[in-house]
Amino acid sequence: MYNILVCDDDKEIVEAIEIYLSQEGYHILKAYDGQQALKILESEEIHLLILDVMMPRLDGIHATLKIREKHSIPIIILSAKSEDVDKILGLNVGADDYVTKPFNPLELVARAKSQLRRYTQLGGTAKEVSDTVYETGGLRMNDDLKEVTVDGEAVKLTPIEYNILKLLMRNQGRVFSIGQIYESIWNEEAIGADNTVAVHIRHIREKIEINPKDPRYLKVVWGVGYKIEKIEPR
Amino acid sequence: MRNWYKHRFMKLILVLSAIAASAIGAVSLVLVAGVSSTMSKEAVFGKGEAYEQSEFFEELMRSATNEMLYMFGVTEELEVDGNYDPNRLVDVMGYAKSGKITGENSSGLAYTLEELSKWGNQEDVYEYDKSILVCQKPNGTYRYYWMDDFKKMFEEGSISLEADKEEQKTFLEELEEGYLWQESRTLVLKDGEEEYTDIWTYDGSVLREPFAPDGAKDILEVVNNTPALNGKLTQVYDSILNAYESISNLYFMYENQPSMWTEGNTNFTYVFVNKANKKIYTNNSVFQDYENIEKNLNMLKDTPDIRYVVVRPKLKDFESNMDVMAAHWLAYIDNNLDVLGEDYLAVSAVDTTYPIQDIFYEASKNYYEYEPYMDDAVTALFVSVLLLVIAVVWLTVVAGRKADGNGELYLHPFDRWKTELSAALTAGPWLVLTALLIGNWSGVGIREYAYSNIDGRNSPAMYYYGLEMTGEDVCIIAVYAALTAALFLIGYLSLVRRIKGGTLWKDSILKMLLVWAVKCWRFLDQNARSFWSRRRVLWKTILVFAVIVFSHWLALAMAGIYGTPVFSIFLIIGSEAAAAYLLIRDAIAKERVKEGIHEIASGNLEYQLPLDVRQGGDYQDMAENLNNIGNGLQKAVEKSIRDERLKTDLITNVSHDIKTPLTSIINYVDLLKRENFEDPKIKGYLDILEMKAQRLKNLTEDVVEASKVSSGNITLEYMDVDLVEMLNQAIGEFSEKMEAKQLTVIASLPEEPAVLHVDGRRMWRVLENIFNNAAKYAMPGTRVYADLKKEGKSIRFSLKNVSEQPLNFSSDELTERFIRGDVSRSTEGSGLGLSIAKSLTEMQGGKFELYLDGDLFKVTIQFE
Repeated sequence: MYNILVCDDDKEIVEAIEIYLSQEGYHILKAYDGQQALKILESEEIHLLILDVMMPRLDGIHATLKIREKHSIPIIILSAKSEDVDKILGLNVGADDYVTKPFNPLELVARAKSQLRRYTQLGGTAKEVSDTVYETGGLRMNDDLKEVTVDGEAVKLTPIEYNILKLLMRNQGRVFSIGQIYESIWNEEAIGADNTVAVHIRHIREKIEINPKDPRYLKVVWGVGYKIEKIEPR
Repeated sequence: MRNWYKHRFMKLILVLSAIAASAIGAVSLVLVAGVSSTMSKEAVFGKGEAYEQSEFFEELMRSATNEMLYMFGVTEELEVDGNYDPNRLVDVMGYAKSGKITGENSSGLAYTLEELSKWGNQEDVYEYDKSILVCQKPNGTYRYYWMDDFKKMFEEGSISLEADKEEQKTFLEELEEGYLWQESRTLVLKDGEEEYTDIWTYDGSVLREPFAPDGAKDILEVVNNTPALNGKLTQVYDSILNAYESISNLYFMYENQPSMWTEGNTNFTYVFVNKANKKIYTNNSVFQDYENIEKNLNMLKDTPDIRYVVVRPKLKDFESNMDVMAAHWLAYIDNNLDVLGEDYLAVSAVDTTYPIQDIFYEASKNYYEYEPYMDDAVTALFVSVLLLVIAVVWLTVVAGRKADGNGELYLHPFDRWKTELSAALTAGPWLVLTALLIGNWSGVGIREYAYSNIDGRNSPAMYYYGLEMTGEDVCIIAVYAALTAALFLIGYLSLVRRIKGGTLWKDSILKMLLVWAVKCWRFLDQNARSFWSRRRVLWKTILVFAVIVFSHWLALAMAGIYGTPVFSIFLIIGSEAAAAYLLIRDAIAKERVKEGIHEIASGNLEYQLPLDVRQGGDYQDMAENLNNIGNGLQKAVEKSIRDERLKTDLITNVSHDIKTPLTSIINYVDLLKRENFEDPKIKGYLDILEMKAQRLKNLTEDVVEASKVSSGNITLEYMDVDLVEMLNQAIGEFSEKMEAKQLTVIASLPEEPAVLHVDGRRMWRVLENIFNNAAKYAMPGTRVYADLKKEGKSIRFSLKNVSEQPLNFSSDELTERFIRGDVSRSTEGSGLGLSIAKSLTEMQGGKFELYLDGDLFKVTIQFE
């Protein structure tokens, strides 16, 4: 039973989120501005904070900064501000995720779950160090077991998808073009234009990402290729 | 009393004392200057010294001694044994050599003393209508003829020329004309026995001869007959001139010996003794006896109140009871050894009881007339100068200040008059006054005492001056000085007040004239300028050209008139230099303006043509206007950018405000859907609600992006991007969407990469929007063609599809929908996708074109 604090100056939004998260079995605490959120954080044990940015009295950015002075709980910022600069600012001040309004309720729930899993299950457990285990953020690949997990949940991949992901996981941060991926997986030269790799990549993304259009792990470098983002464990 | 020194009574006192000081000072100055220049400095600074101790007295005594010695010299020269013999002969040539009269005719040319002394009284020195001929003998000696005599003899035939008649005639004529007869032909001229080889006219002046020389008819005879003088006519003439001038001088002095130093006429006693011939010269009968000279001298020395000087050849024997310089006296006496010989006694003495009213008496009287006042005069002079200086300085300091004033400057009404007028008003009267003084006052009287009446004839001039200053003189000087001081103070103090008040220059007529002149000049200058600048460029050019052409034609005409091209060359060079200057100046200005236009045209709106360098003529105007255009454009662009940013901000803020309620709408519609309504109608309503909410969400996001993109309010991150790779990625990304509508993508991509330098994410957005568009609106079951072509550096991508619905709008309406906002579409999506794609493409330097032909929908993106 995890406690999630939802903080937004719009009561209806808070209530809607409460409904969705309650259905998943979480206990919801509500706050309507930054100050209230801070107060509740003082008195209650909170496992996840969903925080709006534009709020009276104390806004989400400043609240995040204050919370980060004492707490390491995951924070998901929920904001109508959808510009890149806003997202970068929010993540930089210490938020773990950034969801723009209007949001897909299911996505929000998924992200909340993901953050909680990482915080409660993986965060504390010691990591097995092995040559055959690749990890970035919540994405983990155990090559011995041929197993891929996202925030502890197993993901089912086809052999080709697995091989592509393995290639990218083993070389985190490096960008592979379609041709390079094709050659290393199929072991033959790529002939002309081919979008097979692109289709596979898309499938992998749909499986490992919460929002495939806004991927966290498997990123597209447009016009160059694909890469797995190297995310250092917290 | 406070500020007493500024009080008007104080000023009055100062002015009056300055005037008085001027008057007294001037009188004192004239007195002191007069006395010190006429009598002696001792009178002024001698502290009551007696007249007899003054240099004045000694000088008088020495002059008298000197004159007497000189006179005796003259007498000795002309007399023989005390007698003057008018018939004594003077050998002219000898006298010219030695200056001594010997009485013998040794050279052959001699005159009597009387003749020579009277010669100088002649009116004309030279003959003007007589001429002399010079004939040269074969042995090199000469013979002189009077022209008249020669002609007579020639006509008589006693002198003959060996030539024909015609030549004889011209010979005479030419002699009379004064030509020299020295032609190349040989001349044979015979005067009896004599034969001459040459003849010419004497080229010197012919001396008039009032007296015939001793033993001859005239000078020519003497010269012709005396071998020593042969051919020396000019030298002879010079010697005669010299002799008669000095002898007539001596004779004049001898005749006019002054009587003032004779016994009984003077208190002055002189005794000159030539011990060689025991001759005594004296004006005192007591000393006539040679034997008793020394005894009588001692008696003289013992006489009371006598002042004496005794000079003998040796300085050690000098005796005097006066404060005089022995060597000085000795030198004077030594000048006259002709009279005194080597061994002599010279005594000068003055009886200072002045029993006779002579020059010494007069001078003494004059001396004592002024000497007593001298101390007071000097004192008065110093005091008055001091007083004047103090008064002037004091008045300078307090000028324009009042005792009851608080430091303010008060200008007299007179000070308000024009500076030059005031100056004229003070200087004018003074000049009139000075003119009156000079015209009507002959100055302070200078009294002349005893003088020698042989002045100007090599004798010592004997002028002795005294001062004669009457009461009238004193009054004139005092009044003149006082008035001068008064006028000076009026002018000077006004000047001081003007300087203090700073109105000296301000109130001057000169300044008025200058200001007026400057105004006139400015007026003319401006009018000329504005006249010139109003003329049209065409007319200016024609005028300048006309001037240059005219000056060339003028040069041509001048060359014709003067016959020399010098002026024309200057004119042509001048006008061509002017033309070159104008052309180059305009060319430089044109170049600058051109550069400025180019800069502004190429987008550098901040470019300003430098106006401090004058462009010359119309280009200055052009440059200014060009700068104005640049400024105007700059302002317009800045305003437009600001407006765009404001618009974008507004849209962004509105979209944020829309998003919050939209979030609730989407969430609660979703919650409603989860309630499992049985009624299909309600389900249908909810689907519509969900769809429209989604559309609204897309719209808010796209509107923000479109406004940013169209206003250029985004930053691009350029990188090398392979468009082939990107298209493969895009086709992969859209594979499912396409499949969902049974669309087949037919890609025709080149083998090699097509690299563009663009912002990868923005480029992806372009492709995404295009593919999205195709996925949404293409007829299901058709093919979508994606073509990429490389032609040299140009990369061209096109996407073609068949539209599901009729394309009843123009391509512009699709891409500029956001700007125009006039066409509405009822399908899902914002309809801004193509607009955003177009803006982004263009922002990255590409071309975005839509081609609509029936149901064919074609997008082309081209990068060079």
